[in-house]
Amino acid sequence: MTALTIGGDRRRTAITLAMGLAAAVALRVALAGAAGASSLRAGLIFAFALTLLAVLARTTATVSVRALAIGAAGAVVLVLPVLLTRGVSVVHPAGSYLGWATATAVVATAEEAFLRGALFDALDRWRGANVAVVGAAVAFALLHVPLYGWHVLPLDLAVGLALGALRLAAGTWTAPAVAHVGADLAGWWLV
Amino acid sequence: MTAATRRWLAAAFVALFAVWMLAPAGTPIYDGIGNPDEPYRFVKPPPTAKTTKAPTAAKAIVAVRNGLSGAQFANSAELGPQISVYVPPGALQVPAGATTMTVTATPLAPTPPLPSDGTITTNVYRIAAAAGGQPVQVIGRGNQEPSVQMRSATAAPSGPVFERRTATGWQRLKTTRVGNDVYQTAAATFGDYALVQPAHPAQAKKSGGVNVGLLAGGLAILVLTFAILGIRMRRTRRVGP
Repeated sequence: MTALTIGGDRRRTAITLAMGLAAAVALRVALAGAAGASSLRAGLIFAFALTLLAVLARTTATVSVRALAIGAAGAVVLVLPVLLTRGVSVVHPAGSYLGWATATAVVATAEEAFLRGALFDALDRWRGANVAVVGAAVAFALLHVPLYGWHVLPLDLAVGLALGALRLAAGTWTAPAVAHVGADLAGWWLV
Repeated sequence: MTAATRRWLAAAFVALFAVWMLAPAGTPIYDGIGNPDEPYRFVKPPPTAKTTKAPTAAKAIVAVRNGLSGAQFANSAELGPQISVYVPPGALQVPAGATTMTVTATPLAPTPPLPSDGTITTNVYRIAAAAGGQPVQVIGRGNQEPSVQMRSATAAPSGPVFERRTATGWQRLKTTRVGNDVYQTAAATFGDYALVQPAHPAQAKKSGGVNVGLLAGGLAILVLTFAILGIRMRRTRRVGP
């Protein structure tokens, strides 16, 4: 009976978090309107909602040299295929980089705190690490579809798996957060 | 590091490189705020357009398995892609003996006859499928129907609509806004597609501003989620570790 209750509890936590993610995405899309992913206000409110969900789920962050190193290596791997297939190019105005980079880092970190932190932990406790890696990757891919279109789904699914693997390797969500932020920020110079 | 972790790392990075080779999204941005699209690349730029590189064509090889065409994306290489064609499994008629087919979307300048109900604001993309040099027809319907996404040259609140060239002119298609400046339509047949800004604003789909219904629903579910998590956390504290 106790085991059943604990199992049901874990399932409910995972489902509640998935519901919260869907609501946060809906909120972002609704607030952004035609501005889509370029809406700073909608992006930051989305990040706040994800962070609050992660805090309520009692997600903790472990910062260590090992986690940072794994994250930095992950960022290089995420950027490598882009460098190899497309090379470096500057198409964005340099003056707006700092503001963009700050907001992007906030959103990416919040996403990782939720996806590879709270959601990963909940899925891991409920169904094990494999389901946690895949579940968080699927959530990561799906949450971008309303903003960028279906064409990002295969790539984001693969990226989600890579970030999940980094979470497994480091034992904390700070490693995929470093990789995610690093890859996003490098994207300014990559076409 | 456990063996399972090593396997996940290897599988994830193989998947990452494979996807970049097979179905690149045309953007290195996995997420972020407002990393703007590069300026639209026109085949024939309007006088006010910025100088850009030439637009790219989208091309993809569709595999044939068990007599059915496989699923495939064909994206152009701009940031973000100006066109993306998705071909679901079984969407294309497979000629006898064919093992692969090619799907292409080639950018062209608009040429007469032009749409009578508006102005083409993008390149015209000629979408085609072929096997062994022979054209291939779309046979998929419903979930098996290919879809086309195109990026608009601007993110105007009153968005453009898809139109397809017919024997007598241009035909308006059901258009869905699926991104900031990305529009989608179903492609029952291939041919020439373009985004057209309707001449009369009433014909344009208003899609700007805040979506109040979605906002209210999202907020309600989010508040409910916070409440559930808060109650569970309080209960856990009472029970203790």
